[in-house]
Amino acid sequence: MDFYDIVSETCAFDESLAKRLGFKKIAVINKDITAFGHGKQNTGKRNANTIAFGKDEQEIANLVRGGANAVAMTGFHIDKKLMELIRDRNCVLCLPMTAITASYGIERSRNIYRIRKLFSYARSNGIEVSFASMAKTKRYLNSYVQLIELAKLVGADERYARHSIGEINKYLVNG
Amino acid sequence: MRDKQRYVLVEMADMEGPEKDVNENEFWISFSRELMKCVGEANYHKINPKFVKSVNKKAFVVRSSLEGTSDFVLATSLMKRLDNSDAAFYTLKSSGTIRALLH
Repeated sequence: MDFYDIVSETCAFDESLAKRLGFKKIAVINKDITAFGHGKQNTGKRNANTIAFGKDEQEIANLVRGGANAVAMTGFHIDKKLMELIRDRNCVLCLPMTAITASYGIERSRNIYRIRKLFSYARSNGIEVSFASMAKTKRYLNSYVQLIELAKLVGADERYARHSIGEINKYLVNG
Repeated sequence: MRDKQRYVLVEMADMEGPEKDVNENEFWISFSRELMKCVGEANYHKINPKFVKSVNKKAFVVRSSLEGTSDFVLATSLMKRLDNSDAAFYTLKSSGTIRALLH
């Protein structure tokens, strides 16, 4: 199975590193994937590879209604109405693993707990979940085996973690 | 009875800043200390890590117990500092034999 990762536009890496880490492709946001949110609005057309970013649930809901096909939340708060909307629009919930790798101590433990809760709620409501590093720098990149272990840390089983990093991320990267 | 073990190939990410010249022993002590911080003293014994060899300046092989391999891989993804400077470790692959790992 081929694996795919998604990183922030500030993350500089070369293709040989992506291959060594075990990924077929590491997609860069705003280069390979269109990002909406933080003031950037979508066009209203549903595109194959678009991610809505945001901490505010209302903003994310508007972006999902506008046509984004994936949602990356940074707040990890469970908003039931937003979750219903994500499920009804067949959106993918993208969980950024950088929230775990880039934090320390209590903050890291808190993020693991929140992401576990969000993942569990999303899966029990039939929402597909994608695990991506969303790394801002090379320091927060992970190999595919590390990404699988991080997915297991937040409650995914090995099979779903592989499906997520393989199939779901492929859908987000290639459309 | 012999414990089953796995060999893990770990690569250290290039970080900005001056390169330090450290020997394998010093590096392994620092690495183990950081590893213990991430997995905790109670779980460190499950991994039972041992430095096997350097492959090049950035990559090295670590032996861990089979049951602790997952914890080791997870811990390396959480290790972002080494001796008070920025660091990152990628576990590239794991295998039951060194030959298969480096092939």
